[in-house]
Amino acid sequence: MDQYPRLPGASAEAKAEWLRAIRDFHFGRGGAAHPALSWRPAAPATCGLVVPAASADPTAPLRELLEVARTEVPARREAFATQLRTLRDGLADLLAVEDQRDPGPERLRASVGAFGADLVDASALDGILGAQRGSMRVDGRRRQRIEQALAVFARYLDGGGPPLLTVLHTEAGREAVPAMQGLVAELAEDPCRAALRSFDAAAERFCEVVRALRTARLEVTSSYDAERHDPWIATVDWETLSAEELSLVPTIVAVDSASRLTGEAMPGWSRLLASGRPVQVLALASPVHDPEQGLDAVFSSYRVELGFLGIGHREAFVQQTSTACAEHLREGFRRALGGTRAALHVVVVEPAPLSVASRAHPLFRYDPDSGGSWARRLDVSGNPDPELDWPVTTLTCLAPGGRAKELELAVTFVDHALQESALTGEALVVSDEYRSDDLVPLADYLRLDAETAARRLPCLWVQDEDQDLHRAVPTRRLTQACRDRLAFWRSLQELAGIHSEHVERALERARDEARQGREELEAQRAAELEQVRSEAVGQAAHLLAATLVGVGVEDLVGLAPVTAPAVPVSTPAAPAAAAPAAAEAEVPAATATISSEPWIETALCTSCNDCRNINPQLFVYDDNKQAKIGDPSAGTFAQLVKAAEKCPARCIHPGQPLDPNEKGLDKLIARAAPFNR
Amino acid sequence: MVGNVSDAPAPAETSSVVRLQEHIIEIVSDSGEGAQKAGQAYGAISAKMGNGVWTVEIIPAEIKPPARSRAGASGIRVRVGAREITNMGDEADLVLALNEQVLYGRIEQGAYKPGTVVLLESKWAHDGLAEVREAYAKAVAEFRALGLDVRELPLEQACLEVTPDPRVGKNMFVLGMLCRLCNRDMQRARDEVSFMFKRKGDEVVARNVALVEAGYEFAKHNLDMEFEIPPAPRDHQVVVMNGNQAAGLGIMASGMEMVAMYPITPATSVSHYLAGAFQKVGGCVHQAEDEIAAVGFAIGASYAGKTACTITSGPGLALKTEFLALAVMAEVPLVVVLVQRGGPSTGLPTKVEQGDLLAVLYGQPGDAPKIVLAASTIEECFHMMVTARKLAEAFRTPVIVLTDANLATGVQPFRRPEVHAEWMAAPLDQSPWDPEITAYDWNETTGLSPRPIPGQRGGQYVLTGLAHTRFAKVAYDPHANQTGCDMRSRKLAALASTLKPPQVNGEPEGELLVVGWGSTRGAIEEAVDRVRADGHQVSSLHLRFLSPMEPGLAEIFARFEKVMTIEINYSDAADAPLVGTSGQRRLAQLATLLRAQTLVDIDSWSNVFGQPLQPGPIHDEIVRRLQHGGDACSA
Amino acid sequence: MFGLKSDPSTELPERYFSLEDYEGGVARWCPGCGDLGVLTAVQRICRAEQLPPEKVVCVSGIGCSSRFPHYVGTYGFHGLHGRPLPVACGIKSRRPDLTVWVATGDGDCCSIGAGHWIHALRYNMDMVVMLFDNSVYGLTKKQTSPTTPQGMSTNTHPSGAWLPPLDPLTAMLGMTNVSFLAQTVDWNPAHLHATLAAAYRHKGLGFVRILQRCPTYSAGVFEDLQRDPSRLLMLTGPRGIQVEPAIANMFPNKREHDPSDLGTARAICEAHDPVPIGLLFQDESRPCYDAFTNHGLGMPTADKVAALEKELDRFTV
Repeated sequence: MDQYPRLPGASAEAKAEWLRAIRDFHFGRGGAAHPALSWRPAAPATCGLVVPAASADPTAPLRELLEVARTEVPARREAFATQLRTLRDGLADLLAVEDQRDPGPERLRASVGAFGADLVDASALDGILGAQRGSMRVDGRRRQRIEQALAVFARYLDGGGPPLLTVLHTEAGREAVPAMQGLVAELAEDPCRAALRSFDAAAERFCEVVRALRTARLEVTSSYDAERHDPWIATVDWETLSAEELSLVPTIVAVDSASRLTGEAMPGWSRLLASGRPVQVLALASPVHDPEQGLDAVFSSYRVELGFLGIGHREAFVQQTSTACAEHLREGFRRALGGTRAALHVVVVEPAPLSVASRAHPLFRYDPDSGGSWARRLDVSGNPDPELDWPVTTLTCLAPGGRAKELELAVTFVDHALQESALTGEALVVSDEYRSDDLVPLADYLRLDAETAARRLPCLWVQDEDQDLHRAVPTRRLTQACRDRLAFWRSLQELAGIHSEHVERALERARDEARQGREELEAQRAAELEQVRSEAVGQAAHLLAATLVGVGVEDLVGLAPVTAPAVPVSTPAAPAAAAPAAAEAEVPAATATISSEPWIETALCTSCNDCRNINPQLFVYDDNKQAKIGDPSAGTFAQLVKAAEKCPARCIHPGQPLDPNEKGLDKLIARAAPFNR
Repeated sequence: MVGNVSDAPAPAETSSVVRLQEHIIEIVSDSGEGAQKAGQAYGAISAKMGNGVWTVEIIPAEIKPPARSRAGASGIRVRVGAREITNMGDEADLVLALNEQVLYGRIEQGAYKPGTVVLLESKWAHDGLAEVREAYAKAVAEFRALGLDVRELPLEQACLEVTPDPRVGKNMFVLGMLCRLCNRDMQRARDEVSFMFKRKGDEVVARNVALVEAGYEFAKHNLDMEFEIPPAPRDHQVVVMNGNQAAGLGIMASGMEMVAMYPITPATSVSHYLAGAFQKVGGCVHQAEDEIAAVGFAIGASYAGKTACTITSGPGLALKTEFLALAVMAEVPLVVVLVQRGGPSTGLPTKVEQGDLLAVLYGQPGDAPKIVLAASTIEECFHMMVTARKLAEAFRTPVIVLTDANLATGVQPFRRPEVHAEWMAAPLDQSPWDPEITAYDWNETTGLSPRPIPGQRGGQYVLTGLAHTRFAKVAYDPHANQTGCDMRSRKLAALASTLKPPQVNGEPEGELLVVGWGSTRGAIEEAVDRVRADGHQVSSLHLRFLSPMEPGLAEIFARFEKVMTIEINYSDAADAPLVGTSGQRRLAQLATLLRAQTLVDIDSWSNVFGQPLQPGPIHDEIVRRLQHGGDACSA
Repeated sequence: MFGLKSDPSTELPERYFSLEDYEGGVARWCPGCGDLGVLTAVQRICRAEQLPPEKVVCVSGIGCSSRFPHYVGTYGFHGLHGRPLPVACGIKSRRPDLTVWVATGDGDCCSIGAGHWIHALRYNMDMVVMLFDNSVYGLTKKQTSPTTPQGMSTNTHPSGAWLPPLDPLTAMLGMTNVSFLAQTVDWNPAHLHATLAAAYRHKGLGFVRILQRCPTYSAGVFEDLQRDPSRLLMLTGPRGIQVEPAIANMFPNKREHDPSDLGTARAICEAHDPVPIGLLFQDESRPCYDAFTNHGLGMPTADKVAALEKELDRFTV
């Protein structure tokens, strides 16, 4: 920051007096009459950058919402209608098929064509063909269900369809409602309460279609089971709809002023948001306040955070936005209309985004569908310089002395607040003659610790009609309001995952650890390389060993480990998980052990039935129709050996005889030997 | 407009209009001169006016024969009548020829008679080549010697007044001439021409309309004749098309969605028509890799519940035989359209014959009973498809519809069908199936069995061409096969029991009953009518169901002294060498069948010239038979 | 109040199919026949995919392997010798909702049905074709088939087959529009299963040649391949047939192969020795004929009637 020019030739005393006057003003103890301060028509220097002349259109938010609905809803409705038409045709086909089953002579005569009717006696043909057999008939109840669904489909498909938006508004809110096609407006004393009723009625009408749809889906595949599905169909209400279906319930919008919604209309919208019904609440806010309300009211109005109250409902979609940020506004509308939640849109109707830039009314979107954490749900990315306390703008100006210079200015709440006519007296221009380091630009001032701040005064740059720059000092009240906005902004930032202390601390820790880890890693890698090399040699030896005992490979799916042949493998997953570890540990020993019990390499079985033809109790099939040992005691060793010899996949291993008294064991053991290796 | 085209003879104003009951014209030329287009327009105009019409194209054997060749006649015959016309008729009354050489071929085929008026392009008399001039002069002299009434006209020269390129416009000029000569409604002619050339732009339309008008004026000023064939008022709309187009439309009207075929003359043009039209009604033509694959593909679709059609001609039928037997054995609905041509072997691909009847009935291994229908008119080519699809599904069997090259290429107006939703196949039945009911659970009386369609839960079965039980299980035991054969045959008896007895054309009793089938109906009935007008007690009967046959035939035959079939397939002449003495005379195919069926001593008369039968020769043969006391003589 | 309920009953009622649901009659193939393993593999794939049995059609021609449909609990079409492919294509032409498995043998497919074989590959309709290649005519009792090794004695060539066998793989790699070509062996159920499953998942015609042992008439043909797995060349790679490492380890001879590489696939097949198993070629971008034949499915009757009336207008005078 540049050095301030000094008050020329003034004594220390004079300087102190000037300072006192400024302080007095700041703390609301008078001082305004002192020559150090003057009231001159001047506006914050940042204003010229953001305030255009035009006034805002109060119908803009609904226009935008309608536009979004127009791009989203018709396609959705059409896709749904297509689905209904397909089902309708399917149901109609069912009835057509049914009607053809027993056509009777008249229809038969028509169906054999003009030629057939001349040559064939339809009554006789009807007698020959008789009623069709085999296909299940459509009984009376089913026909009734089908016809009922068809009637509902016809009503829905042939009706013109509901309007894109049904808007409920107060008398005062009428000015926000544009006269446009696709939008139907209804007057309501409490729009939010009325919207709830409206939604329930619309949802019930739509649920009738969904009931027909669910019924039809089951009917076209002939899967409707009255016992199971009647109660299920009966309980269809809006909460049982799929997300896609719910998004087709006509959109209801409650429009009200932010001031009413933070006041007497609070219970209505709060209940609505808590109800979970996908109704849109549009809260219209003005960037400036009525001076009649007095200073306190104006200041406190900023502190009632309607959007934040909305977030408090946790599961509702909330956005705070401005008509001057059209893209942000539209994106919020798009998400709300595409989602299945109650939605609160706090929209400042303003021609330029000054209330946004000054953090008076920061943009945010809270979307519970984005994830479970605050950082995922809350998005402040639409704001200028979202990582900073205040957005920074660069002003090119003529400094006193005629020199052009670039000034980096933070846009603070004060810049916005001074637009309020009630607050114009809350800052006074400091005489250009007064120069002091005690005047600290507001943004810097708010960062000072309490002790330092006590010895300084905040200031801001203002411009007069001639575009000349001057400093101005705000009152403490205004400064505190500014501090309050900053505090709110910082909590938004933190919730949205920007400058999260927790994260930053963790980051630092991670950085330290990474530094440390890298060194350790390098040392480790060398060691690991050596280990892998030695393991590879071990594995090869191990593989060789496994092959020698006839196992194939240790982690063969569905194959018992060599050391645990007693366990017949039934489910492939379990032993597969256990096998590698066990085999790894035991394989060297296994080369010496011969399994005593019979077992089968099930994964290799080709389902040829040969073994099952020998003894279907001894050999059984698993779920995959592959052989395993069933009851080892149900057969003889001779059968095992015979099966092993016949098996084309050579996957039967007879093991050792269970019954030492079986005849001809010596020969059998010798025959079994090749299959036990 | 072209009043001063040449030094015109007596102006036509003086000619008196001759009223005719019917009139046959031909336009013949080298191929590519648009004669067929002119004839079709003439036929359409006549049909619109309310006349009966039969149009048949004259097609040379080669695709592009050399110009002015004797066998290269390309053109069209249009028979127009005051009442319905059912066949091409006998000799033409009037011929418009763009060169004289193409007439030789027609004369050889007996297309003309003494007195036939020939309007002949005369430019060849002035041709640059002497040989052309000589050939022309020689031909004109020869034609006149044959009794033809040749009128030489400078057609091309007259066309040059209207168009710089008469080669592409002469046909419309000819159309204009015909409109004048036959008293056709000129406004309809203009409309027809405008419609024909609509796509080519206004300029082309205007030029062709001018040509028609020029032709009209030319005839008015240069020819001293004018005919009128009084139209009959009609209270219904008519469509004009050939038999293959009618079959294509009928296939669509039946609700079938798949035609699988392999190119073969003269059946292919059904698929040509469908290739463009089928998509519009949600269907598809599959051109298979061969005849066998075509029928296999159709059977696959049919088995899956979408009864399909395959279209072929004799040689194709031979290849499809094995699959046809499978469809019978496994009881798969299937429609086969068989457009017959001359045989055996590759035979006469473009010519008419009714030679496949016995092959269709008996040409498969073992006993393969199936339904066989024969269309006798172009209109039936349409309606029979609806019946065929329905019967195929109801009786779970292949249905073969016989047509022939005559129906395939003949064009005739008939009452516009009113399409019925009931004609269309019902939607696919995908209801669950009662597992107690098996796929060949034959009804002992009718032989009919229920057919589960893939997708029906609980109806799973394996279709097989092997002998099988009512549970669709392969079975080689003696009873299984006997039962299966019984049941499949019984279906035909069941169908036969629902058929109405056929109608006799003429008196229900008399000296002679002529029995025919297929495309010969128009010619036979016309001939029989004539013979009856001569004072003979002759009637005719035309069969449409050939398997099973319509009932009551023996009773009908018993009321006539003699019964004979008239067919276009080979039979031995009774007096052919060795035939008469050996007792081994081979009769025509329907006669053979009827004799077996009814035990009546049925005679036959047939030939295999490859030509449609004409009423004249039939008339003459019937008269001859009546006069000779019934001794079958040479064909 | 808590928003949408997640209600499992919003899903259609689940039918669960077990292996038994895909079982038909008792298989009557010879003991030890390789067909049995293929049967089990197909049944397992049906179960894994939970295909409703009524939505599956097994189509076959004539021969030992063509008995296949009788042993599966689905719909079946046991048709004519050499002709399963036109039938299967016909089924698929208007019933895209059905899953079609084709069982055909070396005689059925490569001899009497060779014409259809070429064209079915070109049509590339969505189905699986399993060529059970045991190098011999079995059902008619040991005649030379197109794939019988030269010199093998058969009843039609007692002194040994005169000519070298037809190689279906190299033949097919030259056929236009082939989109999936794999080879496997019946005696490795895991590889067989994985290969058939890949063919099933393939959009288009999945052709799998299965080297299949006939213990009765051609027992020796694959004996050495079975005894010495190094005679086989297992094709691996990220786009190939995926099997457990344990299964892969049973084939010592491996080669990484990119199934989009037609040239290499040809070279591998033409070498004949070792015998490749795995996915030789795959290209899912090749056009499927189904797209054309399925046209207009489900068009309502009223629309058809209207279209037909319009068509009749064209002929009305």
